[in-house]
Amino acid sequence: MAKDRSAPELDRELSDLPPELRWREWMRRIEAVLFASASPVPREDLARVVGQGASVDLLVEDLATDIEGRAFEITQVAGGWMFRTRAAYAPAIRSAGDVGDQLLDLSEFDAAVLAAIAYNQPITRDGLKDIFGKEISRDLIGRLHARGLIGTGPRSPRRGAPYTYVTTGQFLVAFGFESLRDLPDREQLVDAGVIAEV
Amino acid sequence: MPEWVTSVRPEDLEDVSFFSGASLSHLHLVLSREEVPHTLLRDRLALRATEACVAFSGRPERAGELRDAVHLLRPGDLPGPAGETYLAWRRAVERPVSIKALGRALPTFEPGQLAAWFDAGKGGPVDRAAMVLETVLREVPRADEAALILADAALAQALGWDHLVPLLAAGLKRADLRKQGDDLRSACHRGLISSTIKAVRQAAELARRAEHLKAVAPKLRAKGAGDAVEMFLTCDAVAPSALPLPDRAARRLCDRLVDLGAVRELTGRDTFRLYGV
Repeated sequence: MAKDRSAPELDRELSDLPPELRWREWMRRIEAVLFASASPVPREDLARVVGQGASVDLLVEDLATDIEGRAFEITQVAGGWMFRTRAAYAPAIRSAGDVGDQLLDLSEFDAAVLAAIAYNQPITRDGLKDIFGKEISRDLIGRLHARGLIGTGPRSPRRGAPYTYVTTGQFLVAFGFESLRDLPDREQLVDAGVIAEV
Repeated sequence: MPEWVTSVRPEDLEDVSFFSGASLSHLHLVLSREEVPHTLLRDRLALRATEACVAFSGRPERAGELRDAVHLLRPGDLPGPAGETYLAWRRAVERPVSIKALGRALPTFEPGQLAAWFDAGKGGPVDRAAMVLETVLREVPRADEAALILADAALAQALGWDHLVPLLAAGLKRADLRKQGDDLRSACHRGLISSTIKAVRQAAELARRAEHLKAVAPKLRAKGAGDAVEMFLTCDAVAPSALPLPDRAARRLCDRLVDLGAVRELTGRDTFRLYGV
């Protein structure tokens, strides 16, 4: 988030406003910060634009009530909040054409590798090779990396201490998960025949 | 621990609470003993608690992988889901129980929220812990880890302990987390009986091993050996590279300690070894 905190001091407390207006102003500030940010904004960052004792959760809750009925909503993802268009408008957005390939322009195989990482993390490139029966190219890993969907995890205790890969907060955002426990249940996938039994 | 506590399988709530009280009281006495390496004991119990939490969330990692996740993590890399859980538990036991310390362990929750949950329980220590557990899981159904950390913290505070001692997670089963009211209280009592018995045994074993390590410490002549021994006396596992000695000297020191029977190699690997009391 913004590194430059030396800029003119923000009046956080707004002590000259009556309580009700103060609360409104804090809500608007949160709205502005979320609007301006492409990634989820963690609670600490939001807490910096409102009064010392104000509850960010309550402010966000009020803001969410405020924007009810609009085409977008506030969602809590990966330890922060962000604005997101409501799923019902996905077809409209897709037909508009312009926004197709921003984040998830992944081929089917890229997505399969990403899923393998999500379920088996932390996993090395060798581990992925064992799953898919073929070498996973550095390019593919690089593509997932560049989209911020995966990051490097703890080193694997093997010769050369290879990197392992883990999914990131951005991964959760992209797929609308709040935590990895929202991944489709492995047993259900096996039952549905989507993946083979291990 | 007296045998009349360890040998019974109590059934109703009155019985389980009686026996859990007896076992906690015994653990309380053990924890007040000076020869028990407290930091080390908490670190190891944190590992057990993490194992339980990770299993609750359906992940396959066991102690070995958890240690690797934390000890092979380089600055700037991500710990991964299981590593994150372990780091949360380690942070929770590191410092005396306070809202600030809990906030450090569970950074995704607001301190005000944590404080409210921490105070959600009433009554005796175990009832308090059970109510904290129930409240957190009712409000955030998947926050097992936060719920268990907060419940253990509430238990520790109610028993007058400075630090959180991880007990509940290792004693509960996955299905217990969905219980409520008296069922949950009963499950907590039952879980505490088994985990305090294990904790007491663990404390006795670590006290014995720590004493042995201290006894052989004067035989070590390497520079920095004193600091290294201090690390072994406080950490569950130590990588030679983390010791305050040059690489080769650190490895030699670890080998020597293994020969002296003072520490064990924990991984069974030839490389990337980890040592611990």
